[in-house]
Amino acid sequence: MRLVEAVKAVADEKKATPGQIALAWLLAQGPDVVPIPGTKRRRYLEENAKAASITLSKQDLEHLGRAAPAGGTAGPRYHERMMSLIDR
Amino acid sequence: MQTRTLGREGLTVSPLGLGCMGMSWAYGTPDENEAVATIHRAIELGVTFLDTAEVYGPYENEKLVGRAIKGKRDKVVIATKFGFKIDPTQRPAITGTDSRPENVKAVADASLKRLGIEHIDLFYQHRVDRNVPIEETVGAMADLVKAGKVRFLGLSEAGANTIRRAHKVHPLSALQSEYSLGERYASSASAWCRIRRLAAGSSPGRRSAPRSIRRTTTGARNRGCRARTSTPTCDWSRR
Repeated sequence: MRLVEAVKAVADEKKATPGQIALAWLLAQGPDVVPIPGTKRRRYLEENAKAASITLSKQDLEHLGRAAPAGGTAGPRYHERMMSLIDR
Repeated sequence: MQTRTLGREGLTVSPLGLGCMGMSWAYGTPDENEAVATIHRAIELGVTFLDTAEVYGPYENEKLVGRAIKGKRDKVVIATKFGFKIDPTQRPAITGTDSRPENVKAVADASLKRLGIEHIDLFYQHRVDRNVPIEETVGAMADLVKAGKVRFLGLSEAGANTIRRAHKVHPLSALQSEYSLGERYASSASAWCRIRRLAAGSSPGRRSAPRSIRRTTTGARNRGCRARTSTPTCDWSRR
């Protein structure tokens, strides 16, 4: 899994968790993007909240971007009935 | 934490939100005490944008959020959603979509009651209803804004055409859709792309999307990255 490895590499370098890097990446997508990670435990909430103070460099963003090529995924995220409700 | 502005109507939120769904729905057994403690900790840490929906639970998640924010209303921005036909006796409880104007208004009143608040900060249509023209739905949402029950409007998992039509009836402030490094469904990201181009005011016919937005591969969600439900709320109305 190239993406997982790329995320882990950036995470290790920043002394962060892969989840924090995924959130930092989202926050870097634009000032109009607000990630809403779901959690029901303080532990994960605290981990997520720290992502707001991680700044990814241009190189980090390029590295992550290269590891996640367009359209390279397979499989829907919901079952068929829920998937059918998504408007495209 | 600094704030981020969504849309042009003045909706200001914390850069990270808190998705409350899992506290009473999906992902295992609910633990109310820990859930409430999580919301309280979030507020302390400046994560004040709380995301719930009528259908989570169903109904229970809004009640839980309502209990958690008691006495803290002025510190949080509450987003909730309407739009499903719900039958709590069924499994699954979602039996269809319902964005008829009368249901939009009925859900707003019921959600306000469950949340124990005077107004909903951000009210989303949860899923587009193919049986109800979006103009009628947004018309009802706009009435709620006029009545002071709702402050800002949003859509969830809507395509570019629906958004364009909705926005003509009343300005929208947010779009919620699944999107992350590991998001596995490419076309939702491409819709997002189109939406952001609309927002940026550049030609909708322009082919190249911002590079980073085209990335929609696999893995992170299911392989140890906890940001599995990173759902961006994105503003497309900015120009």
